[in-house]
Amino acid sequence: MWRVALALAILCSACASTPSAPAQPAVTLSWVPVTTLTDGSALTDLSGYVISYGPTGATPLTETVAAPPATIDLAAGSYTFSVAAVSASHGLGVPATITYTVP
Amino acid sequence: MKFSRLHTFTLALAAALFLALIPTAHAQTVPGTVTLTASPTSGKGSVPVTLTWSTTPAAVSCVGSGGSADGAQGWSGSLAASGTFVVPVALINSQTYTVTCTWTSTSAILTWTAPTEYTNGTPLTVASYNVYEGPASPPATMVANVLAGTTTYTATNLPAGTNYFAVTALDGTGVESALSNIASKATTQTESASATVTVTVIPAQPSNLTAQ
Repeated sequence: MWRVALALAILCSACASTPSAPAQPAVTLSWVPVTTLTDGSALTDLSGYVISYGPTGATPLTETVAAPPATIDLAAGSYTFSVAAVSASHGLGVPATITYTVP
Repeated sequence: MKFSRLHTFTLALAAALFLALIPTAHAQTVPGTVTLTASPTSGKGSVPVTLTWSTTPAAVSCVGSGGSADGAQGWSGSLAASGTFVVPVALINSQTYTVTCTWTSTSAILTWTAPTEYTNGTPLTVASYNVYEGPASPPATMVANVLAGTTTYTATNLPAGTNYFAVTALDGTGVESALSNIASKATTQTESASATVTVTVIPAQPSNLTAQ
């Protein structure tokens, strides 16, 4: 009984001290959902958000999400992110941009 | 954009004078032109706009108008004969702007058609025409006597406001017809030009964008 307890204790401590696998670098973008159009009227046909991102100077990649937040796996580095709402009838909205360095 | 004010009238005659006169008078053509352009003329979401106007020849004054009930997008007030105006806020709705410019002209050209017969139908040879001018209708002041063969008269140094003109015909014995009907011309004339900026409404900008 003692041995089992000791073995479990050793196993447990070994388990806890084992380094976890390195996490994939990622960024999580959050924003307040868009509810209006540029003229102040209500946005009633939001179809999602287009996120375009890329290292400065490079051709941006795009990703579409239905709602915030959005998590994107990336290599470490500095990126500029642009988020714009998409309306079925009014098209692509005004983008918000942010620059972030992925560690 | 150009003025052309044509006054056509038929003379009413006093039967007792037995003179017929059917003048056709028209006022001077003033080459006043105003142009207004908006830059850009269209855009999406939020559109900063610059208005540019000019006049040929230079107008005495211009007045801007237009824009929405939102005062910041509006255009009002007195303007120079040419210039630019930057709308204080970017437009979020389509707007139409208008500039109205004023010119003054102190001269007028009067023309008429010679009569050919007396009121009783007998042939008439006109000897001359009297031209009347005044600030009220009918014009009371005779300002010129024009010999037959000439059917035009240029009035100059007109006082500001609306001036009225009429002519009479005289035969060789000095018998004068009644006044023709009255032609009028204002010394102040206006022209307008408009420009429309078309703004496409799109979804607003997401707020509080954060990355972590």
